[in-house]
Amino acid sequence: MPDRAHERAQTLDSAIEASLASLSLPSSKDLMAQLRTYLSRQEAEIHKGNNVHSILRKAESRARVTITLGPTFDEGPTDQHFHLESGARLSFGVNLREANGRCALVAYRFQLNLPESRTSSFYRFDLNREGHPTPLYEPRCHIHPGLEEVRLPFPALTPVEVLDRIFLVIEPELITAQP
Amino acid sequence: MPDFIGGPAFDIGRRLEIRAPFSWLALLGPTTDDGVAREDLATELGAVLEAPVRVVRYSGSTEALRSDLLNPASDPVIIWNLEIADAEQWSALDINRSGLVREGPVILWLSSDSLTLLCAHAPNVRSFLGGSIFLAGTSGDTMTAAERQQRISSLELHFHISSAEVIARAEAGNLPIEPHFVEWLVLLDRGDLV
Repeated sequence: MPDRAHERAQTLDSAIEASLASLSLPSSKDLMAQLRTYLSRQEAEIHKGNNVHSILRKAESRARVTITLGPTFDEGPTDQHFHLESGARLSFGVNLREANGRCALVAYRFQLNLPESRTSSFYRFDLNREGHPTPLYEPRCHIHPGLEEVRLPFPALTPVEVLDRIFLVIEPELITAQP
Repeated sequence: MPDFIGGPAFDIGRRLEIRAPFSWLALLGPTTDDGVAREDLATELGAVLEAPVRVVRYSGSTEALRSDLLNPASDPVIIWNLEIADAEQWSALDINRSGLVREGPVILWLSSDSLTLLCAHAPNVRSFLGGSIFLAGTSGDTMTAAERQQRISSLELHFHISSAEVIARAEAGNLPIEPHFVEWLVLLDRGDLV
């Protein structure tokens, strides 16, 4: 059975591709507003001094849009991160293809660096631009469970759905587990 | 007069959520109003209120405005083009104010001159607003050239390759598939290679 692992991984990656094709997002302007509202509501609850309007940024080029929060690479806490109540910090980059007032996901990265007290230092949710020749090791959509070279398949979620997992699933556990 | 520079829609939305229904609010738009700020506000406010925001153009007719506000009557509405209203028209709006009352929130998009006329000739409409008169800021969420370059430099440093090489690889079809490389191309204004 292990000798068919690559085949099974390819089947799973194909299913992710199919689900991605059916994911349709609103315009980049509307998605930006949704993300800004989502994070503003979180900040209104936790009062961590996150200035959502200054840290959520957008760049466009020839019908391709990049929405970013925080630094491109996490090298330690900055005032550009979104800081959560638990002490975790969030940065992300979402890449879109826009046409006729709608967007399709091209790629994304959501990096949640956990509080220092945790043994696992980060989670990162990645959607690659396209599939990899060996999806067993690099599924198109995956999560890094605190290890750069470990990528476990993950459903293709919309950016808001990723934030739901970060803020409503992971973060409450981080707070509960605080010493 | 408080301003919402840096965060207009979210703060407005929260006020409307707290005060709803039958809320009225006035915003002083930017001096050079090409409609972009107003449309941006409608988009942002729609995300906060989780409902489409209708933008209604005042045509000079109180009856037409009443019809617009009541069909439908429950959605959030931004009324603009009130600069064309003279003293007599503001008085007419004031006299017919009861006919303008609706469940959905109303936002008056004003210039400072039209606010002055409103205060002078529409005291009852003014009372609808109460203390809810604000300056509209702009979202300003587009990366500056400096921000783009800072991110590009960060990418070059991290991956130890130049932007020119990234473009060459993208054109050759052998660019790595990680999300960072898509961002890199957009930052370089080469979204066509994505």
